[in-house]
Amino acid sequence: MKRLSDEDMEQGFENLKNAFQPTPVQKEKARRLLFQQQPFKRKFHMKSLLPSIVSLIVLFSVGIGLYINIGESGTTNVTTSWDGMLLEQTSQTSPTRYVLSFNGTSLTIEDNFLGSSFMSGKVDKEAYLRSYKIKEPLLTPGTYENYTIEQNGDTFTIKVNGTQGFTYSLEKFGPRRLRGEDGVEFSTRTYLDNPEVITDDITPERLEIAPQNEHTFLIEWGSDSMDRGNHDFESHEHGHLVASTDFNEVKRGQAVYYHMPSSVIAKNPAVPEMYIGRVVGLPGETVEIKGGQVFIDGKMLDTFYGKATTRGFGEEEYFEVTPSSAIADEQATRAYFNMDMPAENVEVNTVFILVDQWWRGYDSREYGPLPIGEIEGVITGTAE
Amino acid sequence: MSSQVWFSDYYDSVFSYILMLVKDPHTAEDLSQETFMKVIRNEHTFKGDSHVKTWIFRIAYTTTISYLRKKHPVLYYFDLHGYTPKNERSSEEIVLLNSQQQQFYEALHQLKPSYQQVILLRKIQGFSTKEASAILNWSDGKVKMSLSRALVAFKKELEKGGFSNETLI
Repeated sequence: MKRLSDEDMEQGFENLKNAFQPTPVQKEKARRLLFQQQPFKRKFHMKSLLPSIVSLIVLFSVGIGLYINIGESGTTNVTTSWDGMLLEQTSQTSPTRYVLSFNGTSLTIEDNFLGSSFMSGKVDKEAYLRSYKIKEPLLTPGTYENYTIEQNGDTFTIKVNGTQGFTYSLEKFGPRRLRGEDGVEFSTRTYLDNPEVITDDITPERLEIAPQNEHTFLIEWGSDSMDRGNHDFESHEHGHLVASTDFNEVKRGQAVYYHMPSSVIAKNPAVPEMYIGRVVGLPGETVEIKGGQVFIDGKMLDTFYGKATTRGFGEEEYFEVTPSSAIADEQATRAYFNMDMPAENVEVNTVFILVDQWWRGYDSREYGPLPIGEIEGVITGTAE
Repeated sequence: MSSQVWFSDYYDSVFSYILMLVKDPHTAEDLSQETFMKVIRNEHTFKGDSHVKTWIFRIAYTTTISYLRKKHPVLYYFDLHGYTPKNERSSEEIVLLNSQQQQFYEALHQLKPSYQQVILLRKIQGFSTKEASAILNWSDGKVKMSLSRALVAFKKELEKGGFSNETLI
C-alpha cells in the first residue's frame, strides 16, 4: 500500500466538496424562502376571528358583571355604628354652624350660627352673604326620624324618608373629617372606620398625691422601669409611693405592686422580689404586640401604656428629640420600637403585666400572665 | 441588495459545510436558511473588516454548533458529537458518493470534531489560516497545529479503511 500524496488528498477533498453541493432545486427553494415576500392576505376570515370575538364578548360580560357586583356590595349600611355620633361644622365658608347629632332613631340638625341675629334688613343680608363661598347650604335645621346611613368607600350618604325627607352625602377626607356635597366640612370626635380601638380615659399618665389610710402602705422604688420622661415612680424624685390593699378587682391601666415570680429571680438575682408593673391584659383576653403596639383581642390599645416607649417618647418623637450622637445603635433602637410578641391568652385569675418602659424592666413578656393573688397592692399615687 | 448576491455566491459552500457536519439534508437546509436569515437581518452590521465569506461562515459555524449543542448536549460537552453513530444516516443516504468520496468522508468523521472543523474549513472550503482562525475564533497557531495533526490522523484513518493509491485509479 502506498501512502497518499498531498495532491491526491487535495483532489479527494475537492471531490468531496462537490458531492455535498446543494442541488439547484434545493438552492432555489431556499432563495424563495429567504427573499420572496409572502403575499399579504387581506381576506377576512370569520373562522379565524371567531374565537377572539367570542372571548372578547365573554370578557366584557364578566367585567360588567363584576363591576355591578362590586358596585352593589360596596354600599353598606352603617346606620347603627353612627349612633351617638356628633358632627360639628369646621369650615367657615358658609353662613351656618351646623351640629348634627345622631341619637337612636332621630337625627337632629342644629344651626348655631350667630351671624344672622345681627342682621337687620334684607339688603344687608345679601351683602353679608356675598362674603361666603357657599351661599346656600343644603341642610335644614330640625329633627328627623328614621334616618339611614350608607357607606360606599369613603362616601357616606344620609337618607331621611318621609315628607321632609332628603339625602345628603358626605365624603371622608381625613380620619375624623367629612366634607358634605355642598362643601361644608365637618369633624367628628370618634374615628369613623376604626371602632376596634380600646381607650382608657381614667388612668392618669403622671402619678398624683394620694391620701393615705389604714389600707395603704408606702413603697420605696428606685428603678426607671416605669419612667415616662419624668423619673416617674422613682422615690428619689417624687417620694414614696402609696399602694392600697383595698381593691376588689384590678382594672386595666392600674399600676400594681406584686411578688416577682421566682423563675425570673432565679435567672437574675438582682431583680427585686417585689416589683411594679401595669395591668394591660385582663382575664380571658388575648394580648399581642405587633410593631411595638399592644393589641387586646385584636383591638388596638390606644393608651399611653399600649406602645413601646423610651422616657415616654414613641419612635418618631424619640428620634426627633434625641441627638443622633446619643443613639448608640439605631437599628436596635428601631427594633425595640417595633417589637413583636406572639398572642398570649390571659387565663382566668391572671393578668398581663407590662412595665411602662419596656426595655428597662421585667413583666409578663418574660414570665407570662401573673396570678392575681400575687398582687399585693394597687398604686394610687405618691405620698405627700 | 448585496445579500442576494451573497446568497448566490456562497449558499452552495455554506450548505455543503453544514451538511458535512450534521449529516442530514433537511437539517442542513434548515440551518443554511437560518444562517442566511441572520445574514440578511444583520447585513447592516457587517463592517467589511473581513471577507464576506468569512463573516458568513462564522455565522454558519455558530448556528451549526448551537444546533448540535442543543441536540446532543452531553455528547457536545465531552467533545464527542462527531461519534454519534446511532440512528444516524449512512453516508449513502445523505448524498450519492463514489467509493473514494465515501472513504474520505467516513475517515473524516472518525476524527474528533475540532479536527473535522479545521479540515472542512482549510482543505475542503479552502479558507486561509487567518480566515479559519476568525471563523473558529481560535488563534492562528492553533489552526496550523490542529490542521497538521488532523491531516496525520486523517491519513491514518484512510489507511485503516484499506485505502491505497491503487483504488484511486
